[in-house]
Amino acid sequence: MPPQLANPAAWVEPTLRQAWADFMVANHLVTFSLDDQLHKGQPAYHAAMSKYQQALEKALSAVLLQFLPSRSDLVFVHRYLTDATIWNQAEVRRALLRVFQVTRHVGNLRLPLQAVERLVPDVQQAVLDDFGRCIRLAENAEYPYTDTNGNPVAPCDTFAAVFVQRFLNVRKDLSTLFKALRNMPEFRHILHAVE
Amino acid sequence: MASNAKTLRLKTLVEQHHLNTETPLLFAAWYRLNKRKDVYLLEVAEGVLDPGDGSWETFTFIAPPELRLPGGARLHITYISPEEFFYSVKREYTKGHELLREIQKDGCRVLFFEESNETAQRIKEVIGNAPTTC
Repeated sequence: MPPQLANPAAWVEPTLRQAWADFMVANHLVTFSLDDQLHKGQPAYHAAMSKYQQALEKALSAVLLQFLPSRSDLVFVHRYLTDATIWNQAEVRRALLRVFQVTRHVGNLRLPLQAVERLVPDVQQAVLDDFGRCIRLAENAEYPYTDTNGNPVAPCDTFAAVFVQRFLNVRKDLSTLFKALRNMPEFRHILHAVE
Repeated sequence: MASNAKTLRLKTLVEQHHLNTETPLLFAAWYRLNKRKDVYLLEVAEGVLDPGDGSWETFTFIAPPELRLPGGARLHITYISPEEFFYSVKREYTKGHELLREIQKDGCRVLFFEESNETAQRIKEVIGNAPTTC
Protein backbone atom coordinates (compact mmCIF):
# COMPACT_ATOMS: atom_id res chain seq x y z
CA MET A 1 0.00 0.00 0.00
CA PRO A 2 1.56 3.37 -0.98
CA PRO A 3 1.96 5.91 1.83
CA GLN A 4 -0.32 8.87 2.45
CA LEU A 5 1.12 12.36 2.13
CA ALA A 6 1.56 14.27 5.36
CA ASN A 7 0.00 17.42 3.97
CA PRO A 8 -1.95 16.68 0.76
CA ALA A 9 -3.10 20.28 0.22
CA ALA A 10 0.49 21.45 -0.10
CA TRP A 11 1.07 19.09 -3.03
CA VAL A 12 -1.77 20.27 -5.24
CA GLU A 13 0.00 23.27 -6.72
CA PRO A 14 3.38 21.68 -7.49
CA THR A 15 1.66 18.65 -8.98
CA LEU A 16 -0.51 20.74 -11.29
CA ARG A 17 2.41 23.00 -12.19
CA GLN A 18 4.41 19.98 -13.23
CA ALA A 19 1.46 18.67 -15.25
CA TRP A 20 1.29 21.98 -17.11
CA ALA A 21 5.06 21.97 -17.66
CA ASP A 22 4.86 18.47 -19.16
CA PHE A 23 2.05 19.62 -21.45
CA MET A 24 4.05 22.63 -22.61
CA VAL A 25 7.16 20.55 -23.25
CA ALA A 26 5.11 18.09 -25.30
CA ASN A 27 3.58 20.90 -27.36
CA HIS A 28 7.03 22.31 -27.94
CA LEU A 29 8.35 18.97 -29.16
CA VAL A 30 5.71 18.66 -31.87
CA THR A 31 5.85 22.32 -32.85
CA PHE A 32 9.60 22.84 -33.21
CA SER A 33 12.02 20.42 -34.79
CA LEU A 34 14.58 20.74 -32.04
CA ASP A 35 15.93 17.32 -32.71
CA ASP A 36 16.53 17.41 -36.45
CA GLN A 37 19.97 16.04 -35.78
CA LEU A 38 18.83 13.35 -33.41
CA HIS A 39 16.38 11.06 -35.12
CA LYS A 40 16.45 11.10 -38.91
CA GLY A 41 15.03 14.59 -38.93
CA GLN A 42 11.83 13.46 -37.27
CA PRO A 43 10.60 15.44 -34.30
CA ALA A 44 10.63 13.55 -31.02
CA TYR A 45 7.01 12.46 -31.21
CA HIS A 46 7.57 9.58 -28.85
CA ALA A 47 8.94 11.99 -26.25
CA ALA A 48 5.99 14.31 -26.84
CA MET A 49 3.50 11.50 -26.40
CA SER A 50 5.26 10.41 -23.25
CA LYS A 51 5.01 13.95 -21.90
CA TYR A 52 1.33 14.16 -22.79
CA GLN A 53 0.72 10.96 -20.87
CA GLN A 54 2.66 12.27 -17.89
CA ALA A 55 0.82 15.59 -18.01
CA LEU A 56 -2.49 13.75 -17.80
CA GLU A 57 -1.31 11.56 -14.94
CA LYS A 58 -0.20 14.56 -12.88
CA ALA A 59 -3.24 16.68 -13.69
CA LEU A 60 -5.50 13.91 -12.42
CA SER A 61 -3.26 13.48 -9.36
CA ALA A 62 -3.70 17.16 -8.58
CA VAL A 63 -7.47 16.84 -8.93
CA LEU A 64 -7.55 13.92 -6.51
CA LEU A 65 -5.29 15.70 -4.03
CA GLN A 66 -7.65 18.64 -4.11
CA PHE A 67 -10.98 16.83 -3.89
CA LEU A 68 -9.98 13.63 -2.16
CA PRO A 69 -7.14 14.46 0.25
CA SER A 70 -7.93 11.43 2.37
CA ARG A 71 -6.66 9.28 -0.50
CA SER A 72 -3.35 10.99 -1.12
CA ASP A 73 -1.82 7.53 -1.60
CA LEU A 74 -3.33 7.74 -5.09
CA VAL A 75 -0.60 10.13 -6.22
CA PHE A 76 1.59 7.05 -6.47
CA VAL A 77 -0.87 5.39 -8.85
CA HIS A 78 -0.42 5.79 -12.61
CA ARG A 79 -3.79 4.74 -13.99
CA TYR A 80 -6.91 6.42 -12.74
CA LEU A 81 -9.21 5.97 -15.72
CA THR A 82 -8.19 2.63 -17.14
CA ASP A 83 -7.55 0.61 -14.00
CA ALA A 84 -10.96 -0.66 -12.96
CA THR A 85 -9.86 -1.20 -9.36
CA ILE A 86 -9.20 2.56 -9.12
CA TRP A 87 -11.98 3.94 -11.34
CA ASN A 88 -14.61 1.74 -9.70
CA GLN A 89 -14.01 3.37 -6.33
CA ALA A 90 -16.96 5.72 -6.06
CA GLU A 91 -15.03 8.45 -4.23
CA VAL A 92 -12.35 8.51 -6.94
CA ARG A 93 -14.88 8.57 -9.73
CA ARG A 94 -16.86 11.34 -8.07
CA ALA A 95 -13.74 13.51 -7.67
CA LEU A 96 -12.64 13.10 -11.28
CA LEU A 97 -16.12 13.59 -12.72
CA ARG A 98 -16.15 17.07 -11.23
CA VAL A 99 -13.61 17.98 -13.87
CA PHE A 100 -14.83 15.87 -16.74
CA GLN A 101 -18.30 17.40 -16.66
CA VAL A 102 -17.40 20.95 -15.83
CA THR A 103 -18.02 22.79 -19.07
CA ARG A 104 -21.00 22.97 -21.33
CA HIS A 105 -19.69 21.49 -24.56
CA VAL A 106 -17.12 19.18 -23.09
CA GLY A 107 -19.30 16.19 -22.35
CA ASN A 108 -17.37 13.36 -20.82
CA LEU A 109 -13.65 13.77 -21.27
CA ARG A 110 -12.96 10.43 -19.72
CA LEU A 111 -13.15 8.34 -22.87
CA PRO A 112 -10.58 10.17 -24.99
CA LEU A 113 -8.28 10.61 -22.02
CA GLN A 114 -8.32 6.88 -21.46
CA ALA A 115 -6.50 6.50 -24.75
CA VAL A 116 -3.70 8.70 -23.46
CA GLU A 117 -3.57 6.97 -20.12
CA ARG A 118 -3.18 3.58 -21.79
CA LEU A 119 0.30 4.75 -22.81
CA VAL A 120 1.57 4.34 -19.24
CA PRO A 121 4.30 1.68 -19.35
CA ASP A 122 2.79 -1.15 -17.36
CA VAL A 123 4.14 -4.65 -16.97
CA GLN A 124 0.77 -5.70 -15.57
CA GLN A 125 -0.57 -5.45 -19.11
CA ALA A 126 2.02 -7.90 -20.45
CA VAL A 127 0.97 -11.20 -21.97
CA LEU A 128 2.98 -14.18 -20.74
CA ASP A 129 3.50 -17.57 -22.32
CA ASP A 130 3.05 -20.91 -20.56
CA PHE A 131 6.52 -20.59 -19.06
CA GLY A 132 5.83 -17.17 -17.57
CA ARG A 133 7.92 -15.36 -20.18
CA CYS A 134 6.75 -12.09 -21.61
CA ILE A 135 5.59 -12.37 -25.23
CA ARG A 136 3.57 -9.17 -25.59
CA LEU A 137 4.01 -5.70 -24.12
CA ALA A 138 1.30 -3.09 -24.47
CA GLU A 139 1.86 0.05 -26.52
CA ASN A 140 3.47 2.84 -24.54
CA ALA A 141 5.53 5.93 -25.28
CA GLU A 142 8.70 5.03 -23.38
CA TYR A 143 9.76 1.42 -23.78
CA PRO A 144 9.77 -0.98 -26.74
CA TYR A 145 6.52 -2.88 -27.08
CA THR A 146 5.01 -5.40 -29.46
CA ASP A 147 3.11 -4.39 -32.57
CA THR A 148 0.01 -6.16 -33.87
CA ASN A 149 2.21 -8.87 -35.38
CA GLY A 150 3.91 -9.53 -32.07
CA ASN A 151 7.22 -7.96 -33.11
CA PRO A 152 9.10 -5.65 -30.72
CA VAL A 153 9.11 -2.06 -31.95
CA ALA A 154 10.59 1.19 -30.64
CA PRO A 155 8.28 4.08 -29.76
CA CYS A 156 10.62 6.51 -31.54
CA ASP A 157 9.83 4.73 -34.81
CA THR A 158 6.14 4.03 -34.40
CA PHE A 159 5.01 7.39 -33.02
CA ALA A 160 6.82 9.26 -35.77
CA ALA A 161 4.68 7.39 -38.29
CA VAL A 162 1.27 8.32 -36.89
CA PHE A 163 1.94 12.04 -36.83
CA VAL A 164 -0.80 14.58 -37.07
CA GLN A 165 -4.12 12.91 -36.50
CA ARG A 166 -3.30 11.13 -33.29
CA PHE A 167 -1.41 14.07 -31.87
CA LEU A 168 -4.13 16.46 -32.89
CA ASN A 169 -6.70 14.57 -30.85
CA VAL A 170 -4.44 14.06 -27.85
CA ARG A 171 -3.41 17.69 -27.82
CA LYS A 172 -6.98 18.85 -28.15
CA ASP A 173 -8.24 16.60 -25.36
CA LEU A 174 -5.51 17.65 -22.93
CA SER A 175 -5.94 21.28 -23.83
CA THR A 176 -9.64 20.95 -23.05
CA LEU A 177 -8.83 19.27 -19.75
CA PHE A 178 -6.56 22.16 -18.73
CA LYS A 179 -9.20 24.66 -19.83
CA ALA A 180 -11.72 22.86 -17.67
CA LEU A 181 -9.32 23.06 -14.71
CA ARG A 182 -8.75 26.74 -15.38
CA ASN A 183 -12.48 27.30 -15.07
CA MET A 184 -12.53 25.79 -11.60
CA PRO A 185 -11.78 28.13 -8.67
CA GLU A 186 -9.64 25.49 -6.98
CA PHE A 187 -7.12 25.46 -9.83
CA ARG A 188 -7.55 28.77 -11.62
CA HIS A 189 -4.88 30.67 -9.70
CA ILE A 190 -2.32 27.92 -10.23
CA LEU A 191 -2.74 27.77 -13.99
CA HIS A 192 -2.98 31.52 -14.41
CA ALA A 193 0.33 31.86 -12.62
CA VAL A 194 2.17 29.60 -15.04
CA GLU A 195 0.58 30.62 -18.35
CA MET B 1 -0.93 31.77 -54.52
CA ALA B 2 -2.41 28.39 -53.61
CA SER B 3 -1.09 25.85 -56.10
CA ASN B 4 -3.05 22.81 -57.25
CA ALA B 5 -0.21 20.45 -56.33
CA LYS B 6 -0.16 21.82 -52.80
CA THR B 7 -3.92 21.52 -52.63
CA LEU B 8 -3.73 17.86 -53.62
CA ARG B 9 -1.13 17.14 -50.96
CA LEU B 10 -3.26 18.84 -48.34
CA LYS B 11 -6.28 16.85 -49.47
CA THR B 12 -4.27 13.67 -48.95
CA LEU B 13 -3.40 14.78 -45.43
CA VAL B 14 -7.01 15.61 -44.66
CA GLU B 15 -8.12 12.25 -46.07
CA GLN B 16 -6.07 10.61 -43.31
CA HIS B 17 -8.05 12.60 -40.78
CA HIS B 18 -11.26 11.50 -42.46
CA LEU B 19 -10.31 7.88 -41.77
CA ASN B 20 -10.37 8.50 -38.03
CA THR B 21 -13.71 7.03 -37.08
CA GLU B 22 -13.65 8.26 -33.48
CA THR B 23 -13.90 11.88 -34.59
CA PRO B 24 -15.35 11.74 -38.12
CA LEU B 25 -14.36 14.71 -40.20
CA LEU B 26 -17.21 16.79 -41.60
CA PHE B 27 -15.44 19.71 -43.18
CA ALA B 28 -11.88 20.86 -43.85
CA ALA B 29 -10.65 24.04 -45.47
CA TRP B 30 -7.29 25.66 -46.11
CA TYR B 31 -7.37 29.33 -45.14
CA ARG B 32 -4.84 32.19 -45.14
CA LEU B 33 -4.01 31.15 -48.66
CA ASN B 34 -1.65 34.09 -49.09
CA LYS B 35 0.80 32.73 -46.52
CA ARG B 36 3.69 31.38 -48.57
CA LYS B 37 5.35 29.18 -45.98
CA ASP B 38 2.96 27.99 -43.30
CA VAL B 39 -0.34 26.22 -43.91
CA TYR B 40 -3.55 26.91 -41.98
CA LEU B 41 -6.34 24.35 -41.84
CA LEU B 42 -9.79 24.54 -40.33
CA GLU B 43 -11.15 21.10 -39.50
CA VAL B 44 -14.61 20.49 -38.11
CA ALA B 45 -15.17 16.97 -36.83
CA GLU B 46 -17.84 15.24 -34.82
CA GLY B 47 -16.97 14.21 -31.29
CA VAL B 48 -14.19 16.75 -30.79
CA LEU B 49 -14.28 17.93 -27.17
CA ASP B 50 -14.22 21.70 -27.05
CA PRO B 51 -14.09 23.92 -24.00
CA GLY B 52 -17.33 25.51 -25.20
CA ASP B 53 -16.10 29.10 -25.19
CA GLY B 54 -15.76 29.61 -28.93
CA SER B 55 -12.01 29.96 -28.63
CA TRP B 56 -11.27 27.83 -31.71
CA GLU B 57 -7.88 26.80 -30.46
CA THR B 58 -5.26 26.34 -33.16
CA PHE B 59 -2.52 23.75 -32.80
CA THR B 60 0.81 24.11 -34.51
CA PHE B 61 2.87 21.20 -35.78
CA ILE B 62 6.03 20.84 -37.77
CA ALA B 63 4.79 20.29 -41.30
CA PRO B 64 5.03 16.60 -42.25
CA PRO B 65 7.56 15.91 -45.01
CA GLU B 66 4.91 14.64 -47.42
CA LEU B 67 3.48 18.15 -47.69
CA ARG B 68 6.79 19.25 -49.24
CA LEU B 69 6.62 22.69 -47.67
CA PRO B 70 9.70 24.91 -47.33
CA GLY B 71 12.09 24.02 -44.50
CA GLY B 72 10.84 25.10 -41.10
CA ALA B 73 7.26 25.47 -42.31
CA ARG B 74 4.49 24.85 -39.81
CA LEU B 75 1.06 23.30 -40.07
CA HIS B 76 -1.56 25.16 -38.05
CA ILE B 77 -4.77 23.25 -37.47
CA THR B 78 -7.88 24.80 -35.97
CA TYR B 79 -9.72 21.72 -34.78
CA ILE B 80 -13.29 22.07 -33.52
CA SER B 81 -16.64 20.35 -33.20
CA PRO B 82 -19.71 21.46 -35.18
CA GLU B 83 -21.25 22.67 -31.91
CA GLU B 84 -18.28 24.97 -31.34
CA PHE B 85 -18.48 26.16 -34.93
CA PHE B 86 -22.12 27.19 -34.69
CA TYR B 87 -21.64 28.59 -31.18
CA SER B 88 -19.12 31.07 -32.59
CA VAL B 89 -21.29 31.92 -35.58
CA LYS B 90 -23.77 33.54 -33.21
CA ARG B 91 -21.33 35.22 -30.84
CA GLU B 92 -19.34 38.12 -32.19
CA TYR B 93 -17.03 38.45 -29.22
CA THR B 94 -15.46 35.02 -29.61
CA LYS B 95 -12.12 34.28 -31.26
CA GLY B 96 -13.89 31.78 -33.45
CA HIS B 97 -16.19 34.44 -34.80
CA GLU B 98 -13.25 36.66 -35.71
CA LEU B 99 -11.55 33.83 -37.55
CA LEU B 100 -14.76 32.94 -39.33
CA ARG B 101 -15.11 36.53 -40.51
CA GLU B 102 -11.52 36.45 -41.75
CA ILE B 103 -12.15 33.26 -43.72
CA GLN B 104 -15.38 34.63 -45.20
CA LYS B 105 -13.59 37.80 -46.22
CA ASP B 106 -10.30 36.42 -47.51
CA GLY B 107 -11.45 33.08 -48.86
CA CYS B 108 -10.39 29.49 -48.42
CA ARG B 109 -10.14 26.24 -50.28
CA VAL B 110 -12.47 23.48 -49.21
CA LEU B 111 -10.38 20.31 -48.99
CA PHE B 112 -13.03 17.99 -47.65
CA PHE B 113 -16.78 18.17 -47.27
CA GLU B 114 -19.08 15.34 -46.20
CA GLU B 115 -21.77 15.95 -48.79
CA SER B 116 -24.28 13.49 -47.34
CA ASN B 117 -24.16 15.15 -43.93
CA GLU B 118 -26.61 17.95 -43.21
CA THR B 119 -24.37 19.58 -40.60
CA ALA B 120 -21.49 19.67 -43.06
CA GLN B 121 -23.75 21.32 -45.59
CA ARG B 122 -24.68 24.01 -43.07
CA ILE B 123 -21.01 24.62 -42.26
CA LYS B 124 -20.27 25.05 -45.93
CA GLU B 125 -23.15 27.49 -46.25
CA VAL B 126 -21.78 29.57 -43.37
CA ILE B 127 -18.32 29.64 -44.89
CA GLY B 128 -20.37 31.00 -47.74
CA ASN B 129 -18.93 32.95 -50.56
CA ALA B 130 -15.31 32.10 -49.90
CA PRO B 131 -13.68 31.01 -53.15
CA THR B 132 -13.60 27.24 -52.90
CA THR B 133 -12.12 24.31 -54.73
CA CYS B 134 -13.57 20.91 -53.88
